[in-house]
Amino acid sequence: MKVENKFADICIAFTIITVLSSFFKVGTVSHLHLSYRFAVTAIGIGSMYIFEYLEHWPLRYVEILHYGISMGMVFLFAWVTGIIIEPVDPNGYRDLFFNYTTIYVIASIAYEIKMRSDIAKQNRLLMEISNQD
Amino acid sequence: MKLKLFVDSKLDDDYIDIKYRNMNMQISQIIEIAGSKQPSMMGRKEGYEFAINIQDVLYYETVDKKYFIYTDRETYETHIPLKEVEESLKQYGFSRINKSMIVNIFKVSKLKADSNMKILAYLANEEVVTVTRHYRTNFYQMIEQISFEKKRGRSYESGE
Repeated sequence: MKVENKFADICIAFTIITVLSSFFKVGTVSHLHLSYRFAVTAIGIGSMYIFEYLEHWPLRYVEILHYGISMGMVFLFAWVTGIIIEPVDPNGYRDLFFNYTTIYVIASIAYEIKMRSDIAKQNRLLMEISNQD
Repeated sequence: MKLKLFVDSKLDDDYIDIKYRNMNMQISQIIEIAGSKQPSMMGRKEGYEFAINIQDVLYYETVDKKYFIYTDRETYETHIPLKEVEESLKQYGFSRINKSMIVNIFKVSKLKADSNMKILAYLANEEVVTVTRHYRTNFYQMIEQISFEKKRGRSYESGE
């Protein structure tokens, strides 16, 4: 997994999240909030290296571990920026938790659906290959 | 057994002379390989060397720095390292599926995800091997490539 690929993944995820939140009019839109959103997306996607290192672990365990670590990093990021840039809103951590968790769960479900549809497709191809022999 | 190789650029055609005292299993294998267009790999079992037709190979595995070739019924030890097998058998429909295994895609009957979202490949002999996330994309691409080649009417170089 190259760094350029990771950066492309971050940009794609950021664009999708921004377009969806704009479509559903979720959250406040300012340059600062967009920057925060990009940083949180970068934390979530960038930390996915863990999936490669824990290759032999069941996916569910790695997902839980990754979620815990990345959520912690997002809170840490909010806490640091709260000190040096702008204080965190009283409901900031709660909103951060709900938004991040919702997107994480949706992304996990989408990944699982894609994985199963890929398997179904590959099984069709394997069937075709064996029928043509 | 001695092996002598001679290079002669003036030859009209390549040829092989085999000199032997008595016909034995090893000589038979060599004759079979020399006269066959089927690609094969050498494996050792119970002190004998065998030429294994790659069409019969289910998968190749490395365990504790030893290398093994598995067919439907037999297991052979070989000296060919994993990297070399991966490169040389790619063109015959073999794909790496995890850190230690290379599988013959023509011998994979189906794929299934288990409850932990690990992908399992069921082989022709009902054996089950794991496809790890790291090698999954290349494995899928290889299946798609073979299927594409087959649809175009060209036999993939599986020795068929």
